[in-house]
Amino acid sequence: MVLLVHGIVRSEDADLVDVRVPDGLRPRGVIGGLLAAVVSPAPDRDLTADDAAPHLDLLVAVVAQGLSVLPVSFGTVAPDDDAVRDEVLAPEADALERRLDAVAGLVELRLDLTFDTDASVAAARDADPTLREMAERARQPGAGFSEKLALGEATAMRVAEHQEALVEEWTGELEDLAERSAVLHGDEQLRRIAYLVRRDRLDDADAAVGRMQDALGDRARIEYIGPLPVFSFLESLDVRREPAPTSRWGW
Amino acid sequence: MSTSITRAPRPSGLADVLDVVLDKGIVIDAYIRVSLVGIELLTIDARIVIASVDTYLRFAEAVGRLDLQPSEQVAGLPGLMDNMREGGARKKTKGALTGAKESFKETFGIGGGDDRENEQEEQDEREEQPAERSRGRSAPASRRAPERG
Repeated sequence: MVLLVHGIVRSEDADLVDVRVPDGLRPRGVIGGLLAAVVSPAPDRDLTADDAAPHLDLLVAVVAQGLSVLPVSFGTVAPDDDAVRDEVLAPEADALERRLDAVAGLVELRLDLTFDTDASVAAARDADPTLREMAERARQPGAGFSEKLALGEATAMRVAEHQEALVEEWTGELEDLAERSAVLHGDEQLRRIAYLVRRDRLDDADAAVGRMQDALGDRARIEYIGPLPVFSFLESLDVRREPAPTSRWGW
Repeated sequence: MSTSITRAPRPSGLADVLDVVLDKGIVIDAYIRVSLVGIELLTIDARIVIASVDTYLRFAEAVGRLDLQPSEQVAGLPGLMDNMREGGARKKTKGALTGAKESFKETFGIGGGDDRENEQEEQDEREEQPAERSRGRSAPASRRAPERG
């Protein structure tokens, strides 16, 4: 039976006891050495976008249970249990174990900041009097496309600077308590940031985002997501093994 | 005392779910993966690239709205501006540059823009449409590239 591979956990977590399994999935663990792959029977058809949600839901449920999991790229399939052991777990077992160690106790949080365009433009206009003059010129008889475009370009630049400053101010507390952060997307309306946070600091992160909500008022809307498995920092995490000390004093 | 905020376990929209899981996570040897061509196309279609020209025009309108004093407005101007804004938004799906220029032309058609400028814009539009289409297809894929994790 063809299997969908969702993630990799430690072998002792392979029974997935207490994990809230999404409807329609029948996941189980395939153990190989110290690792286990979380798999489920693949549908008897091509995968569609709708299959992405249960895949993510299962990984989120594993994280919610307090387990460490390496998410496997969506769409990964294997023909049977032996292939999972031989092709997925065995070849990179050492590297996978180190990565699991690296993500232990860590989760990913995501923050989407959606800006109110009118509020951003008003703030940018107030900060730069030349925008008002350009707007005046653009309204004059005879003014055309180029005046309007120049006004828009100058405004877009000021808006970007203004939003950058706001994001830095609003997210400062979250940046401080996160182990790492990464901007995943940024344009004049949406800023999507991922934070790598220790599990034991989730409450602090929630409180920081609550204060952020108070601070931003109507200027932006927050969407706050997590805890997710570590997706955005897998490559950058330090997965080197600590070298064994050569003597009891470490040299 | 700060506002309590809801932390959602995962994004609610399908496009955002795909953004989280597609091309992310541990990648196992390539031959073991299924083809996800259909899904790749879906995400590209879901992300409409908004051309910078359209963005600039929206910002220009927003600044213009701020500076307009009600007592100085000629009758019907607010509605005219709203129509222009709505027209621009409606046409984003048709092609950002085309939509922006059409909404601009509509406004000038009502408000008294000169014909020479409209003709020039139509010529620009004919020249720029193919390039814009190809940009619309390629940009999201390249934007995703640095997000691989």
